[in-house]
Amino acid sequence: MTQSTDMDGLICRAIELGDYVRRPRHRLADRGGYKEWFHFCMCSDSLDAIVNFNVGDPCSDVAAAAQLTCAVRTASWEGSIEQFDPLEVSAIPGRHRVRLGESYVRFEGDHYRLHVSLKHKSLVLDLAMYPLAMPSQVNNIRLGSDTSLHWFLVPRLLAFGQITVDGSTTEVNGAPAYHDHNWGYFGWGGDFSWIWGYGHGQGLGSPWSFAFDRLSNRGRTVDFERGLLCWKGQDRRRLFRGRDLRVAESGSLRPQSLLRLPRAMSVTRPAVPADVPARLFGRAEHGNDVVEFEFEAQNLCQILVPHDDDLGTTVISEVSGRVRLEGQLGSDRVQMDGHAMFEFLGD
Amino acid sequence: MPCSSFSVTDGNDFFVFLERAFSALAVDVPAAYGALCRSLDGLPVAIVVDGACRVLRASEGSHEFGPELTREITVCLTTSRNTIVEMLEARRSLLEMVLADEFSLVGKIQDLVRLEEGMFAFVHGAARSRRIEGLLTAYLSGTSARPASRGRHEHAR
Repeated sequence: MTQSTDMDGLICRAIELGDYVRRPRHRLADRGGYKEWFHFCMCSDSLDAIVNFNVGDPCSDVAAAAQLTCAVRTASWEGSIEQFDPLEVSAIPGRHRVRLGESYVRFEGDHYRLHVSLKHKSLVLDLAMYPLAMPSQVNNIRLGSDTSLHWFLVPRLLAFGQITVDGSTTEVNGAPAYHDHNWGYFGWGGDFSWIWGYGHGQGLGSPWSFAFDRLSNRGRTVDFERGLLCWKGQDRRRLFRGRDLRVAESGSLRPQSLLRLPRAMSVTRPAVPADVPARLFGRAEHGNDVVEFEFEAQNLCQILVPHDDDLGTTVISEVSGRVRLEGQLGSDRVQMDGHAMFEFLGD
Repeated sequence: MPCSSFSVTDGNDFFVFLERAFSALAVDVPAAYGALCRSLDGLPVAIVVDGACRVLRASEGSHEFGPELTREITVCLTTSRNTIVEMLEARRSLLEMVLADEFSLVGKIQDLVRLEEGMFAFVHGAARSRRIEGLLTAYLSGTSARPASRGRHEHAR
């Protein structure tokens, strides 16, 4: 058995041990409702895809048991958010599969199988995603005094399959992709916001991948958490946290096309979004290790999430674009040009 | 005075959608319904869609749709089904529609602000109601069924 095959097995084992449905059937008193979702995305110059299976709170008295968000950008954006009744939902704790109506995601030993068929839009996505890098898990990310979130991520996958929008099919043949799985007790609209993102080098010849997060108060005036995790090939290579990582934004993105979901809520938002930066810079430094990244935002899709405890809305901006990563990690010279997707959460 | 035998469902599926959605909102998301009624309290709004007109009157905890135009109307909203569908599907912005003379709002600025507050309360509430999502899907697809006729609807908060 080769070293690579050993590592492939370890990656899949880590997914089996970490990426299963939680969905506890109990409530924690006075905490926000339970949240859990499986998130997949791809980004390139010609294609962006965002798929989110949200299995929600099984104890909630809200009629919708789960929802599926799917947005795809080819020539322009298309997508929808669809709700599902309990009888249409299968998400059994401990299993590696979620089914919402005709759509499903499941881990099949060495790859994720992702099938999305929207009920009210002509959009079908059928993909196999093979993990290429060791997953990572961050537990107990504090979102408030007694609420927290857990984050399991697979930073780099290779996607194969087809995406069909309005009868036009795009072949996906080895496209880089990202997956994460989040769960925890919190309420949308709390005193928190985040910037999260990932980046890949262009093509398989570039070994570098990274994931980034910055957790702040709602006004983004105080950071609770900052992190930058770098992978080289399959291996986690370096984690920078807290004050080792500096972040700056500049400009304001003016996207050529914009999709907001649910669409009907667009009327409540300004025509031109004003809170997504055109560029995001990061510099991480500890000892002799230093890495800098620069993200150039290009395409924007916004998900409007109703607050749990008031009539407000949280805006989740999914932004794809180009990224450059440079630096020095031990004996490794880091140089990467590629694509990235960042998520900005705000009002 | 509103005619109690009048059905807002007559002739225009937007008013069918709107009446059913208001009723669902009152039950499913009472906070949004209350905010909507407070915003429009004492502000009669004439809604004209493809030439068909209804007047929306709201007060604390209740609303009604009536057929008649009177001198008390303070805000008049005029548009078409096509424009409403484009708006709900976010194909164009409200500003673009106004500039294209496809969506007209007439009234004093402070009254238009109140109408916007009420409209946003409705939209925010609608996003939290499965029933309104179903009504919206039916309206957009043109399959809204005709409901039982009722002329006046009041909802306890």
